[in-house]
Amino acid sequence: MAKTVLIVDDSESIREVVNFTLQNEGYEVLVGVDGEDALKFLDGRNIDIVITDLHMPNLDGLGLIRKIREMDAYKHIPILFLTTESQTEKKMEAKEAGATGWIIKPFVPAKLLSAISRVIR
Amino acid sequence: MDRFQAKFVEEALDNVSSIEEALFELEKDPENKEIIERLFRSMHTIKGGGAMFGFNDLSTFTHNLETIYDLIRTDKLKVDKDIISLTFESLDYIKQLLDLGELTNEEDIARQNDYIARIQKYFPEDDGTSSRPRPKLVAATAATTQAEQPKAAGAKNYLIDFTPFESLLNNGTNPLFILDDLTALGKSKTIAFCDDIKPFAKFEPLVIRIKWQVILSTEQDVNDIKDVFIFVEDECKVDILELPDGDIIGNTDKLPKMIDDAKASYKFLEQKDFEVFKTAQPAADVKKAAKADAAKAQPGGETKISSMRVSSAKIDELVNAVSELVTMQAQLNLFAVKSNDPALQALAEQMEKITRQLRENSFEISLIPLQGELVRFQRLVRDLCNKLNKQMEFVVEGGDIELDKNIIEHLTDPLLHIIRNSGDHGIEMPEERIKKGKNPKGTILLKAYYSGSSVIIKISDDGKGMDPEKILKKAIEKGLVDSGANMTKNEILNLVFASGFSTAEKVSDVSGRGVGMDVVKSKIAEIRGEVSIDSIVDQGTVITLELPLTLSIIDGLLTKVKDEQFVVPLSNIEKIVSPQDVVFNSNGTGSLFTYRDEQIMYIDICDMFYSQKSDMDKSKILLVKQGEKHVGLVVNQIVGEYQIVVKPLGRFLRKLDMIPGASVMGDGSLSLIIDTTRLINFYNQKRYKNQK
Amino acid sequence: MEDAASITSFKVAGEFFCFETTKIRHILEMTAPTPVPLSKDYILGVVNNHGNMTPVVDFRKIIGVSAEENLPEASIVVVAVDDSNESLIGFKVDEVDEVFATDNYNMSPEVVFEIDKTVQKALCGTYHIGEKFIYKVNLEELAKVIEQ
Repeated sequence: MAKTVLIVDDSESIREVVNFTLQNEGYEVLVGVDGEDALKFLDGRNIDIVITDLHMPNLDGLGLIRKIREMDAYKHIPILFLTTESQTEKKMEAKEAGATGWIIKPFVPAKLLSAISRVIR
Repeated sequence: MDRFQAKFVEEALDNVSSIEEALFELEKDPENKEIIERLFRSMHTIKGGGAMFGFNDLSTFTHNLETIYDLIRTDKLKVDKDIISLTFESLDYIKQLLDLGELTNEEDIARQNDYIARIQKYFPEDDGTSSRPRPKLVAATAATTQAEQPKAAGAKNYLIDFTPFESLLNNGTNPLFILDDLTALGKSKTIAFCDDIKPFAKFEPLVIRIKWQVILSTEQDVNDIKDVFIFVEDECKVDILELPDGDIIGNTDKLPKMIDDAKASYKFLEQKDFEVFKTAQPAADVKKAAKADAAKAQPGGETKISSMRVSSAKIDELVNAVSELVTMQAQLNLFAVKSNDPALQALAEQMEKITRQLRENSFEISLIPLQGELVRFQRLVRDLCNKLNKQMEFVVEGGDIELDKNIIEHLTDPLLHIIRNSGDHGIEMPEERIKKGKNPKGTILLKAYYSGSSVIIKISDDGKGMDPEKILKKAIEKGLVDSGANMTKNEILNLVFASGFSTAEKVSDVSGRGVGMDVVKSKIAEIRGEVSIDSIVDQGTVITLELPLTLSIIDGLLTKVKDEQFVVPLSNIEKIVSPQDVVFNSNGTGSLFTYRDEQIMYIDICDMFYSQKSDMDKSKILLVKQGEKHVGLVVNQIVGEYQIVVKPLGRFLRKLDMIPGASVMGDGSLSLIIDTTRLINFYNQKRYKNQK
Repeated sequence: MEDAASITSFKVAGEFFCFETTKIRHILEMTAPTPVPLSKDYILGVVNNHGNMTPVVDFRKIIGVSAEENLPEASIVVVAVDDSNESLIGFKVDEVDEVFATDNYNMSPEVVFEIDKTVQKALCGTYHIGEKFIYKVNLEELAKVIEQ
């Protein structure tokens, strides 16, 4: 069965690239425009991985990660976050919030896919 | 990636606009951290996206600009006017870069470097860590990670200790994937130390109690090994130890026993245990230590995005389809009424309700707030201040008002022109203002509000105003009016909209472009709007635009004049009265009647259109509001209320502006639409000429 | 302008005129246009041309020939002067004639047909094809006259 990816980013262009790349690879893709928006998908349905941006309005990436980790159904699913540079402190924060890993922007589709394959198979 | 570029550009332009908006706020409130964060975030997005979508020069440039705001938000730099000006300029440059894409010619590159140099002046000299620009670095990351790392020559042996912390599973990490990745790097032997696992009864599925050692023979660099653990650096202990060269993994005489012993004693193998495989080598310990302090959390931004983007072409399509539907609905209604079938009539009625709802919804969708355009005006006023050495403030009231996007598109240029005029000709130099006892800082106020089915936009300034005598003199000189003309102040002021009239003595650098107020008027007329002006010498000028909410669908009253069908927008009509209810005054020059103590001028449309007087007894009078007064329009028959899809008559009938469009009725016939305001103006002009 | 590959000729009051074929959008059967009050006398009104409200000009009237009601072959030739829907305009003609490829014919600049001065400018040349003299209509010029 196709794996389901929830992507969350306030940048439409990034969403489109990620969405396009993942759908091409046969993933089921859910798209949230910010943390708040993403929550609506986290209703107990099967989600294999969440990929989220950190800087977002309404509910930022850190907030979203913390919320996801509070939900029984998603306590242990892999969460990758997108970060613009190798900002160490940001990474640490996100990890502490419960993220599994990260993808550094800018990325090419191959890099995105390899990051995902690190955490789901 | 190319297909996403357009999207990125569109989005980046949005970001530029929100930066501009934030800059204006920042100018007023330079210490506001929240604004600075917002600016920073938008720049960050442009930078990140730029690098992803092939705008590397843009990314580099924005990185530098962003660095300034990073310095500001970390209190290493203070916001001042120059920085804000530089940022504005930079935004213009960013827009250019979005257009240019990658810089290819020397000239452009030199210009970019100049810009960057100007920005870098704000970077402190000694602070190398946070502020030194790293041109191209961002851009290069994606491309180089894989390709340019030198490969280690030949296979090397490593001993990798991997001790997960108990919490490893909490964050969704699967340690088996890590082992897979590790062993995929070359030949390997993996030892699992499972002694710590609790008996089944006490099994804790969420706690990991295994640790591993991997003996790996790989040609990959040690960094590639580290890379496998990149996500779990802080959730496990990893040691990567170099082992002597040679075929350790293939060894059958010592290695198996070593592994068994290690498992039995539940003790990791040590680097020195492997010395037996080779003559001693200097142990190059390549332990890594990644430490970083968690920094304080950054508050997320507050810009609300609760909408989705739809191309305007799609909206046009929707509105068109709804327009067609409205027309079809009218046909259906007609058919239903003729059929005498109550079921069909009920259905048609239901359909009509839904159609109306759909029409209203789709109409709302095509409304966009005026707000988006305001930043440009703010920019303009700011630029004018600098250029003319004037002090001016641009104040907006009611910027959240929404208008049809087609109207907004046509509105920007006229508004820019009006505001430019106010700044250039209206507001005086500070010294002059002080002499007049005014605040040296002038104000240009843009106020927008709904009035019935119209939107009113008033642009007022507290400048020197316009002198009606000068205007009249000039109009006479230009032959626009006769020297003996008896005109009210208002009529005189509105002469500035006449073509061939321009108040500026010379075409100034600022107001220039050779566009006069007549162009403003005709542009506004194109969107069925009205312009008027009022001014008091030394107190200022007010220009009022009255605009329709939408261009496409209106509620109309279908009437007949002679035997032709005409539609009058319902919103224009205050009341319908019968000629029997009014008292006609036959004296005087114009046609007047008295209704409820008000003397009202009336126009017999049949007489006006076909030079044929109406039979008043069989006619109806539509009372419409014109300015402060009422005007009566005589039509010969009232058919009913309809939803009307307004179709313009095109360029060849544009001069006939009292009939701005036509509509297809349910039976396929056409009805012309009457713009009552224009019709009355036309009538008055004609009457004025006839009187002369 | 002159490189247009073909022209479409039509007959009005016994004379032949032509437009560049590329300018023509539709040829509609003659239907009664809805009259527009206070418009120029040669504007017959507007018709619904596939959803566009298109004004119709009586070609007879604009060249100063008296109107004729009962013309069995009368049609409305709809052209787009500058390619936009805004610039759509229909001409009522007595009869649509033929389409000619212009490669083999030269247009001479003289026009021997004399009409009202303002409209005369809109006739920019003459094709001599077979027995016919066909006057070429410069639509941009004619549009200027109508727009006045």
